[in-house]
Amino acid sequence: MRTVTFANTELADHLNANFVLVWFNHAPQFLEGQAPEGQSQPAYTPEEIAAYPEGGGGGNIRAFYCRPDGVIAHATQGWWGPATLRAEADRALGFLRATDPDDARTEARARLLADADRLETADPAERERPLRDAPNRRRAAALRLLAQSYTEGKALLGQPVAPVLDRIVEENADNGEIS
Amino acid sequence: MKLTIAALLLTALALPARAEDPSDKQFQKWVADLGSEEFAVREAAHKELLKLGSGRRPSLEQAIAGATDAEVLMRLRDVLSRCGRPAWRTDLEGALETAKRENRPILILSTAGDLDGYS
Repeated sequence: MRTVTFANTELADHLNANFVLVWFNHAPQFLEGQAPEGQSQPAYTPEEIAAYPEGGGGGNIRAFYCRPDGVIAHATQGWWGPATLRAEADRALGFLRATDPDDARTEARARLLADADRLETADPAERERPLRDAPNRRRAAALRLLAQSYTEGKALLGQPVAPVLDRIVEENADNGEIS
Repeated sequence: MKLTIAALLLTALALPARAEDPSDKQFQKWVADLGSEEFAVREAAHKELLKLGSGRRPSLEQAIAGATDAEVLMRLRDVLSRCGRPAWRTDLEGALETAKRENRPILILSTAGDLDGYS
């Protein structure tokens, strides 16, 4: 995500303008945060990047959108490309400004699912093709994953973010794996 | 009276976005301030320039091409290297304090690996 999504300067400008940005390593024991000796971050080809599904990665990548007082207002999981992350950041800003953030979030989730439904039937010919060759169906799958992460993140809403991050670090350390 | 109070409350609750792109005059002033004899002035100008979006890259490149002072050059190169990249902080506590002080929302990306590490 660092080398792909956040390499997008337009997205970077937008995030810098609207958020205080924090990069949190929730698995500091993992390779001590560094690449193994002699290795470096692999450079993915454009084809590999295009093939990696949005929403992949699950809990290995989490985004917490918080109020200025550090309380979680929105949370998602997974890898997202620049356009999707930009849209999600804007939705989060909307939740932060809404008079009823819960309502706003529920509505947004419903719209994601409606968009997914629409995309799945947009091109009947895609049904005969594998998923990798069906961009509408792939996008629909990504939107469903995003909507799912809304549900999974709901329990964290309203909590101060620092203790939540501490718990994630503990869970990763206890499990001995990235979860 | 009620309307005024409501308006004031809404203003207070508003989440500020960054100020719009500064004028060329202001940009030039900050660049000039990078060469000030006062450290505080140099630092303040550096801080303001770091807030610029990627649209200012050409201006920064031009400023670098015309810079003769070593410190101005060093600072401009630092700004350019960070221009158009997310301004990630790794000090959670400090970032939370900044967000509260500036009344800005926070986006925390939680992942396995450090910012400059394997992630």
